[in-house]
Amino acid sequence: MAIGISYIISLLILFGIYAIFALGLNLEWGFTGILNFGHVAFFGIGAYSTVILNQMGVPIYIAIVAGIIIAGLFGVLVALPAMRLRGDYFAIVTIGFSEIVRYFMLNEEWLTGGPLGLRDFDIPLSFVPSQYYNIAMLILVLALLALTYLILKALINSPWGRVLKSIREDEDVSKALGKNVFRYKIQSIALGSAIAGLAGILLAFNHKYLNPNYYMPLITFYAWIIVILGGSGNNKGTILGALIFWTFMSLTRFSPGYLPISSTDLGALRMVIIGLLLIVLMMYKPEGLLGNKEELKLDI
Amino acid sequence: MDTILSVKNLKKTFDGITAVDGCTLDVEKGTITGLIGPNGAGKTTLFNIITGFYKPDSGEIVFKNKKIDQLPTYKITHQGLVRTFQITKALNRMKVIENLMLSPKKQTGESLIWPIFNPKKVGKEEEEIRDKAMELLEFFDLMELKDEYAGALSGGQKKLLELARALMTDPDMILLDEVFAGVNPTLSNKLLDYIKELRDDGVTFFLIEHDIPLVMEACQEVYVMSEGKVIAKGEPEEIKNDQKVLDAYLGVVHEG
Repeated sequence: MAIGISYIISLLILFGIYAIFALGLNLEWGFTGILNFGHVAFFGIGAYSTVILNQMGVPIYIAIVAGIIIAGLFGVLVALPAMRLRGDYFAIVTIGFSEIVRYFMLNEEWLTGGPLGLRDFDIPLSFVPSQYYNIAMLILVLALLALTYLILKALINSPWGRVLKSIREDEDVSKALGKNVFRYKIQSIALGSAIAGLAGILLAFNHKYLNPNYYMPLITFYAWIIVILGGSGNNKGTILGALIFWTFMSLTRFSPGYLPISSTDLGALRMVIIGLLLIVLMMYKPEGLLGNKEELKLDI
Repeated sequence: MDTILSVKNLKKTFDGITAVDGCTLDVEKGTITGLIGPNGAGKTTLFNIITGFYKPDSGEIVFKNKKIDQLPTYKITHQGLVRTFQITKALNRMKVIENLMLSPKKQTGESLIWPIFNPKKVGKEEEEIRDKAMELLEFFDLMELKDEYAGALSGGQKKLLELARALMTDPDMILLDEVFAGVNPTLSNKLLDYIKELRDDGVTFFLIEHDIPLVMEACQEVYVMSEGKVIAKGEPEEIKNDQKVLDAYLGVVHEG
């Protein structure tokens, strides 16, 4: 039997990490209407910052907090100049930024280890015996996912979240009603990027290794697939979307033995299938799995 | 009477096209003042400049004795000057009640920190804001729609919603950009009654309107704009018979 309990645990860890990652994107896109195509940059910045700080001697738990904050700060750094652009232009800048970050990781070997990546860093929960380590990691990831979800829920249902939603609907109205739209967008990106940073740090611990190739633009679109699948602006949907997405990705990873195609072809085929599934979803359930159908009718 | 809003020699060009060309006007406190003029006269552009959506090229805007022409929109709203839009902008995917509760300024819960660390205070404030919103919904006969999405409202209801939302900011003055356009006569009369009632409570209104009989009925004073300039001002009756106004609207006939 190929599918063992340890396999399911590793699948659930990835689900949890990508659910957190996509929740950050959903805050920006689903609730604020910010088109961020460079979300993966903050995934990478969080991971690299934590690991580099740890290798410089900073205790791991402090390095984690620092990594989250640094990812958030880089979000602000990108958004400050780029937020003057609207919609798709902003998206182009962010995708460019995420590639700059990846090329920086590839080329600045003195800091990032270059294409060989970084290894040998402390990981949390190292006191747990190795046979139970994965399950401890899973509990940590799921606990952080729950924490992220609850914090976002409190924020989205607050007046702060109400301002974000008004910006998503029509930022001229928010301005006319006395809201500092620029500041709220920056806050949304800062928090969304910090959340992405957290997810990236967890992924680094899961792999116990960092490599620039983990941060291809494709990863950003994993998050987009998850958000759209579950229904934009719906955090429960995002979590469900992450579960479905990773289950699909993992199940199709087994198949090389069973299907008469090579693994590279299979990798491409998976994306084709996901693309087709999204098209079908948009035709029959355009609001996403848990999205609100009523809301969709209002967009004229 | 006191002047609440004073616009002096305002200019704004867009790539060589002069939209507002040395516009000067005063709005008296506690009045309903009209702004009429043919299409393209620069009325909406003037509103956009007053409310900070555009920066003027030159000129000065003073509101409640404070220069506001360099302030961003949200700060102008905080001063007590709020606008509505020519094409109604309901926040479609938000409930009617949420539309209203968005407006009040300086809400504690609008920060990133307090909803998490002081939910009690935020919750209490939310109740107060909700009560205020309910009062306005009552006033505008929108109570039954409070939990509907704003996008599901009719055109007329959206206009009421916009006015109610503007009132939630506690304004001293409201700029209405064609609030009566596309509204049926019954609702239009009702809307006008609301505006007069609010005027009696001390809110100043400055409104762009094409429905001349309505302007005649509602306004104490009317400004007429054409080609970016104020070409006439006065009481409705004077304006109606002003030759320059008739020329602007009907075109000048050159004989010969």
